[in-house]
Amino acid sequence: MSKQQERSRREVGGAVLTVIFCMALALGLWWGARRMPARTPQNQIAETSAKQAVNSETSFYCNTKSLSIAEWAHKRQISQKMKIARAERKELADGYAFRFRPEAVSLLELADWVSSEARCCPFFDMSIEVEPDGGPLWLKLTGKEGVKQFIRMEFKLDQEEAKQWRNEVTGNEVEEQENPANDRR
Amino acid sequence: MEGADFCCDIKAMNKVERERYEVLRERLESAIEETKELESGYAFRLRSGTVSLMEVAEWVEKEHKCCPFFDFEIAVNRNDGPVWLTLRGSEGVKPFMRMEFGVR
Repeated sequence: MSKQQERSRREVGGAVLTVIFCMALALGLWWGARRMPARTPQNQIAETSAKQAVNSETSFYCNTKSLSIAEWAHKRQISQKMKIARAERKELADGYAFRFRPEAVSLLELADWVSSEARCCPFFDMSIEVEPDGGPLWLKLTGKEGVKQFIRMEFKLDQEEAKQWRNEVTGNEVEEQENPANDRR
Repeated sequence: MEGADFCCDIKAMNKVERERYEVLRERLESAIEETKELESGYAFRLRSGTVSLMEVAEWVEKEHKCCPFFDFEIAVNRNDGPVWLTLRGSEGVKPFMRMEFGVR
């Protein structure tokens, strides 16, 4: 075989190998893309869920997948009403108690929220109290050791305190930016 | 007379509400697994799966409309634990409850 034929054979062999390598690479990328889910709202919730799992250092784990997107939207609506209706917060030995104005949020709405919360974060002990003669509604969230820190973090109570303090110092109502994360998930 | 100070306004509910109230009351009564006597009332442990939290709340809402002198508490225990319904009130509420709800 002449040197020229030898060279030409090597070139063809190299080209074939390059084509095979490129095809393998393309196949790998295609397969990887197929396995990677699209960034949909459902996946965003799943991502948040994974983050929360990481955040569950205190062994308080909320399963965000226990509610559908529609149920989350509904819960968020009630949470907004609860936020407006909240008149007082009491620190308890093992949790917090929140007082609500009954004209701003109903018992059924609170029960609805508790029902969802129990599915998502089953480690809470929750109770709703209806005081006599049209008195206020109380929602208590309690649990084992560490639950208070969890509540403060998840419900952003420290931020609220800071805001209240700022308002008292400045004498102004500081506009709070609407933050979807306020509703936790 | 025992319970004479506790007046329930039956007109607080219309016919439809009253019918719904009776359905809920029946469901609640059939779900009671345990009754605890308290100093100022009674607590009822409800069998899970027999009555939902929303149904308990609905009953409380209706009862509160009719008999506003009760102090109600619905407690949901962690990890799918039992639901407790507690009714309390001022002195004399226990005999009233025994009479009204047949609590033993």
